[in-house]
Amino acid sequence: MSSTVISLAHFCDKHGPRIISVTQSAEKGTLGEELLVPDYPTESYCESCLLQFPEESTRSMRCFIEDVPFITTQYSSIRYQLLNSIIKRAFSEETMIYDNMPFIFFDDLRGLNLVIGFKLYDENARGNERRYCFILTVDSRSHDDSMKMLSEHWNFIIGGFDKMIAYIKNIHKSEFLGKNKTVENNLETLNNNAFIGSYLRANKSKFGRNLVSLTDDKFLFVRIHKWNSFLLHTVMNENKLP
Amino acid sequence: MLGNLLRNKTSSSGFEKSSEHSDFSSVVPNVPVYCKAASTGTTKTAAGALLDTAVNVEKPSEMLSTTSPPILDHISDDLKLKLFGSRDIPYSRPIDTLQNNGGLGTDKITSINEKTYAFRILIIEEAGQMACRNNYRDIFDYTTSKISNSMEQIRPSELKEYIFGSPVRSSDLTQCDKIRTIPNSDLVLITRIFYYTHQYNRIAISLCIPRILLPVVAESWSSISSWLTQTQKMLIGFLTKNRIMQENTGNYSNNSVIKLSNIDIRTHYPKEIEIMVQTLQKRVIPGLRSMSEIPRLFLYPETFKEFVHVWFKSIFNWIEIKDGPKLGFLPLLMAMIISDYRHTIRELKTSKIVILSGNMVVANKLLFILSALLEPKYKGQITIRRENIRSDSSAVSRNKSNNNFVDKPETELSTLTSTDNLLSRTENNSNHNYNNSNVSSNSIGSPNFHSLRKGWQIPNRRNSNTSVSVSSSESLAEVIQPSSFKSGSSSLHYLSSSISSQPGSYGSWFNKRPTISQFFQPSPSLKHNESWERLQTTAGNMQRTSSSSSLQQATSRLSLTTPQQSPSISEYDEYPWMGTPGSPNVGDVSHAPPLVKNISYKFPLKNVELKRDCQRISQDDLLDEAFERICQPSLADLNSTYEIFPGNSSYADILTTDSDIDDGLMNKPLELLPKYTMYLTHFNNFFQLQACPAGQESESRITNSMKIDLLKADYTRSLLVSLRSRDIRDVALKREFTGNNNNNSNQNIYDENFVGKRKYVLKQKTRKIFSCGKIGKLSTSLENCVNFVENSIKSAMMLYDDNGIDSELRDSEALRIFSSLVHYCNAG
Repeated sequence: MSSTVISLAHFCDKHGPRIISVTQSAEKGTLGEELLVPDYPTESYCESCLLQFPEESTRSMRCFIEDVPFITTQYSSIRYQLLNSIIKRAFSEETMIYDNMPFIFFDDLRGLNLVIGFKLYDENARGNERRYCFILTVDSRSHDDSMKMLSEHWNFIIGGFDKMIAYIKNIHKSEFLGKNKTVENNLETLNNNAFIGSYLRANKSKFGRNLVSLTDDKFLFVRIHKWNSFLLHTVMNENKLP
Repeated sequence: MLGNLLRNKTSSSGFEKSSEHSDFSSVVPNVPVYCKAASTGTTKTAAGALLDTAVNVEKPSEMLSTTSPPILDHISDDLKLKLFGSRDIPYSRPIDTLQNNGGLGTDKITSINEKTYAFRILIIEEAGQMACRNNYRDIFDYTTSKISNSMEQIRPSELKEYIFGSPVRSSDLTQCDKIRTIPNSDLVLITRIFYYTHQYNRIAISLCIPRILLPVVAESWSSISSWLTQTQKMLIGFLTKNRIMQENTGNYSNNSVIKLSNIDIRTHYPKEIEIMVQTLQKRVIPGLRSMSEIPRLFLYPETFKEFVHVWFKSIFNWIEIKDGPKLGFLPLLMAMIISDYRHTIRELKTSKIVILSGNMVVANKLLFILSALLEPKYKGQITIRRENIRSDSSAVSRNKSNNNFVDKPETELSTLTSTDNLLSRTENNSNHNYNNSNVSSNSIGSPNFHSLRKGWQIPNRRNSNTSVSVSSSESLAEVIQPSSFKSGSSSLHYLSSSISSQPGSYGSWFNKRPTISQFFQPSPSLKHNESWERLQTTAGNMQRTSSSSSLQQATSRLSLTTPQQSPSISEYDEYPWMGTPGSPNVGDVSHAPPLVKNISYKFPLKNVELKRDCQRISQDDLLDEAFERICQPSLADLNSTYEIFPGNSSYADILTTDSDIDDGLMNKPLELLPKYTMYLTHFNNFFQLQACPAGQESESRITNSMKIDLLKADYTRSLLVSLRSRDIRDVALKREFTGNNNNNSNQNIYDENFVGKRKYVLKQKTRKIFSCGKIGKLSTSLENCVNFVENSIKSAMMLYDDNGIDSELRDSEALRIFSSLVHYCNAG
């Protein structure tokens, strides 16, 4: 099992920091069964925090690259405590800025984490925005080795996350514009989104919405799964060459 | 003129050093040691001594993405393509996504050089009383900036939000390192937070640097972390001393809390503070700048036949002109790298290969030859830009493709030479003359190789007749006669050199070189340097005391260097038997303008187009292709790309997707280039392969940097190649501890700063591989490798000499020879 993990995290209006999806890899030549999750009731999750599969009976996604299984799940049964600790730190303890810029922190408990935050405008959310971040975790106590890997793939990692974030933002914008009829007003609203303050006003008429609904892409999490698997495979692969 | 240009740089730098040093010394008695003006002077002095970028050069922000380092201004496009794989090598790019968000990040970088000088150190202590309104204390705040900028204007209370984060605190007392950007500014904040003896007051060491350095922070992390650790130890030492002092005076009780805020560290520990600041100024910040601003070599894939072609031509050129038939300088140097230093440089991060030369052009050519033997090489695809061929020149191109390089007529080469001389003559500025001289040398280098090879035979009259028949102009006939005469002259001179096979003839030729080498020396040599501080002081003093005489010397040198002479000097250094073309040739060229267009030399790497910056190769194209292929954003329905596997009692159903990654995406090409670079104006400790000016000063810097490397390692090696004196030396430095290893806690804290107090001995061993034209004692394996290299070069020479060989067969054979050199091992 590799020490590198990619997560998609969300700061929920009701539940605070939450993991939406986590992509891990297992040993080469295996099926990665230790990373698969059993059935769980999706009704216990709010819409905002749920990893929504295109097929309702599934709870895990898996693909094989060079005989290595990459598995994406709603939560990680192996690294549950670690990931919870990471997202609490990222969302609650640090001053998180959702501007697509990287934030890196390292300590012996959580390893090396690279966090890139972004937000989506949604009038049904508190403060009219929903906050997410992609997190690359290197679960290792060796800070120098983790930094070396990050250094060797800096443009690839930052650029890879940027591609997925840009895709999500673009299709969210298309969905938002398509939903409302007045194009000029919607563009103005999106542009003004940048100046909204960081205070989240309480409003009980707000409700949770899933990323699939925000982007009108039923297969969004399948794409995220495949893209994260590719990023993970590339980052892991080069470390084995020497 | 090269010496003049470098001397101008040195004089300018010396003047600034002298001025700023004077400012520093005059300010110190009146104001506290750490006032900003004095520190800024020190910063510029140190950075100016270590780096070669022009000081105080303002650049507009819109040019940031296309600005190349000034060090590349004197490099021709062909040499850029050889060394770097691209004509355009901008600075390391800051992340641009911020600019894509409308309204955010309105601040822009206004000055590259000014920003990269500035940094800010903040040491803040946070008390454990959460109810206290002002529970942060500024322990230390230090900014280096003579000019007011955004770094200084941010108040510590604003930075605390990004240093400590929210008041919510984790339950663990773990030490943490953070790297983050600060929104609406061009700053990066590097922070270490730690606790002292598990009390609830947190201490933060923060370093603010410009955002342009963010991509290199990860690569320089060991250096930054070392500085943070050193500072942390220093602060813990202060706290420990304070606690011991309180215990001794009886004021200590179990209820009192030891705080840094109770200690005025500036007043009580000025020496330690200065050491902490100086370490950052002289090691960490220059390292970040070097990695960000100095372009790195690009190692072509070993399967790229255009590169292999150019590489072998460079070797033939070097052996013909520089080595001669008797001396085995280049094969020995290549063998040394293949059998020994290729492995050493990869395993031992402090080992280096340094070329010492007063001639930038020659040194860069040698770097090109040697770098091809090193690792890691790029393994991706090389993008070739398609060339637009006009209809009227297609016939000429078709004719040229049928000719081999060896058969290129001398007429075209000679005319090319005359053209370059004409261009260089029209320039009034001496610096521009120098630039054109280098361009001329680079462009003439490869063509002249063919001319010299033809020197073994009497020029073929048939070729001359063919040229005459092609042209119907009478003026063209006039061009042929002087060119033939010139070719004959060089041919006779070369035959004369080769006929006299006595060793003395080469010795007599070498005796001429010191005169030319002295002309190119960029700076006065210093006999002894104990530290970089001493070097700066001495240089400043010399500059101050002898400014008038040095100005006269510069004037006299400038007057001696006429525009007509400068190409001759550069050519003479490489082609001592070639004469300067006379003025009649220049006049004749003006009568034959159509010929110039048709004889442009087709450089095999001309259409290489690699997107990169000084540090990395761009990943944008790879990510674009991968995203389209893997995520299929234009496809609304992905039902056909996955299937459902039924679950069991352990896990639920699994959605299994296709793996859409083919061989092109399976192995990502190299992104971070190795730390090899070109000719620099100063030796740079952060690069493993480089060239720098010859002289005692450079050698002292190299030795001192090896000693500094031993602060963290027990052993280091360097291969020094001196082109002026024809030396190849293998220098090894080892650290051995002697006596008692027990150290006091004080000395432990200042481990890296009080080297003299450590009980150890530095042992240096120098092995002369090649000295004064003689080969030193070689091991059997090295000797075998030398023979292998020589045989490989001979095979390649025969390959390129044989006109009957098919082009594809020659390419595959050349690739095979190159591959055998690159993968040579002693067992074979």
